[in-house]
Amino acid sequence: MTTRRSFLGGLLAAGSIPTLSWADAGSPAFVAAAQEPDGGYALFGLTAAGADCFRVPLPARGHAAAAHPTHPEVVAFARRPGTYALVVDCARGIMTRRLDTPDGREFSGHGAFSMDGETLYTSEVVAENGEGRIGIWSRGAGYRRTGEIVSGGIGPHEIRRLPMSETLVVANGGIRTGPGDREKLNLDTMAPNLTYISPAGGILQQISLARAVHQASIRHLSVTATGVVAFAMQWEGDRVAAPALLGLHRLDDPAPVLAMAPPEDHTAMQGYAGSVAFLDADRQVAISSPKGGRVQVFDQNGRYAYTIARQDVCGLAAIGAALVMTDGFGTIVTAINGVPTSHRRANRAYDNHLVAVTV
Amino acid sequence: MRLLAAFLLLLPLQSHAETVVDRVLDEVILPGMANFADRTAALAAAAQVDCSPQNPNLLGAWNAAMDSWFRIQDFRFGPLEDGAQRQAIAYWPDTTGHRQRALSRILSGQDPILQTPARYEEEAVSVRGLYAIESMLYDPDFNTYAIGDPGCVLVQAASADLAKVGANLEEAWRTDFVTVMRTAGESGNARFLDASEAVQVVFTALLTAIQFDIDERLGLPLGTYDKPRPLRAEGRISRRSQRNLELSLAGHARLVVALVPDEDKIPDTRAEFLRINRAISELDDPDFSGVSNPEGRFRVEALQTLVTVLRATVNRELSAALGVTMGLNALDGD
Repeated sequence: MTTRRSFLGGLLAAGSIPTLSWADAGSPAFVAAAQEPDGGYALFGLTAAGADCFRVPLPARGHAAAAHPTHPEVVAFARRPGTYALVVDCARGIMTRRLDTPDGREFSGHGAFSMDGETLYTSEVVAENGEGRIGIWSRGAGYRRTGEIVSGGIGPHEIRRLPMSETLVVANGGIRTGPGDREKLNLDTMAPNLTYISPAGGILQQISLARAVHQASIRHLSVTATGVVAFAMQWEGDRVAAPALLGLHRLDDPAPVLAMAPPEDHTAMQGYAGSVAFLDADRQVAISSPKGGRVQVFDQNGRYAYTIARQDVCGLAAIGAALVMTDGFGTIVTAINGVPTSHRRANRAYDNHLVAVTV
Repeated sequence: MRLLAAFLLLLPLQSHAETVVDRVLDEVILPGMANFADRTAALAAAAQVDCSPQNPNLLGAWNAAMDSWFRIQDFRFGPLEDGAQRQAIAYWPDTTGHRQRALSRILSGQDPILQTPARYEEEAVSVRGLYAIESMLYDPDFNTYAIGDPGCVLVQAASADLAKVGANLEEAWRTDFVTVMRTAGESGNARFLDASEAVQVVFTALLTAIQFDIDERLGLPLGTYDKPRPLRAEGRISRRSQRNLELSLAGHARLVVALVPDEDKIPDTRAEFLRINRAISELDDPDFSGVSNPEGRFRVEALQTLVTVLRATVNRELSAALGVTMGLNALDGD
């Protein structure tokens, strides 16, 4: 029997207005941006098996997306230097709002929600000089921009929130580009870092790499349920000297663990990791190299485990014990311990990232 | 030199194989791998007989091995990518001069590898393979050694190592990866989940290889207008820069024919190859040193433009003919 108290409690928990949940969108497990055969772009909602749940056209090439923690809503970001971010109602399969950066700012392709989903954080650069900013947007106020904080470095790329915390972790890639441009202007002096930051802008910790590997641009992130951050890097230096492309770190640890396969396997990554994802209940972590046509999987301590060869593979996500990979040929593949268990192909080219919908 | 022309005259080849993958394997990859194994074995044998850089047989054998490389360099997947074998054969470009420094360390004895030459495969890729041997045979900083000198031991060790890589590569293709490709999409094949993926991997490798010609073989010596970089040309010291490019393009053409033998399906691709051939036949710049003067630079830039158009044309026509596409992640990351 439903008492008045439990009935009201339920209403309060669900919010004051009737809400849609992720199940209404045909239960997407992932979203991914893609290029379609006609050259246009769209964001796709995908089931765990890789079937389409929804398709929303994008005005220009997409990159990644931030999934709201409870509502069937994602914010899809343009590829940097980005001019748009689109709020997508995944239940209805429509774009409900467009976010534009203030003058002089450019989106960097990634974002994250606060714990309650009421605040969106976006990684941005000051177009003129590449300095990093985190844009702050109020979902409750119709995604109004309410402020910004510094990201703690040049050229921030991916941004994540630590679990059960409002602390943000930012991959400041270190690469400065010109306004509206992708040309790299400061490869000799670049100084990437991993920055933990409070929503008020206080820098809690900043991890930099040794001077000898300052050209390893820290770009992509994955976070375990207990707050271990995996960061994936892209090497801008002499290709024979490519250092580790994966680092593991936990807030307050003095230094990261750098993880790298034996030399010959490492070389095959071509100094490039495009995405990173923990999998198998955070016991393993994978990095992808579309340039090397392979995914490398490491254990949670950073020991190399195995390689999966896939041309043009880039997007990575996890579901249960399985690693899910997308590529530029429209394939979504699920593999357990490196062995493919299912795949599905669509006539499109999946772009860099596969974003798990964590509900 | 009319290397590309000589090949284009052969077009179209008579093809009997039924599937795209069979044609590529039987007409290009397997004979190419066998040829490379033979040529590198011959190089090792020649170095064993007479390692001196004046030995015409050795120079001939090295050039033949180098030529042979361009029959297989397109296949950037499977055995050539496993364990960095491609780099072990052809570590280039080397824009920061790793090779020179590492060779000097070996020759001076700081690196004691020449005491155990059979373990040369453990050395860094920059001192292994075709380009390391090129430095020893053609670079005036290195090619003054006499029989019995460390340089002689190095050339013999590097040649023997390269021959072993060539033999292993041929065996890996013939006994293993050929089956992996032919059984694409069959249950138990974890590498290629659909038949189309085996075609896809070849197509992607072809476009990547053409991009390498554009960005590296031509782009590196071109540098910028204000700062051309002729010293960065591949094969500069052996005066093979233009020959290497021609052989590279001929290799692409050979692969295109195996992928789509019906030239009516790819008329523009054929036209672009012929256009490039005309441009190359007027180039006559063996080491691309011409990039330093405006006229020479103009010619090399024009060639680069033509190869860029070729790549776009191959992408368009072969995508349609084969039903595959080029992924967008590998070339423009973020």
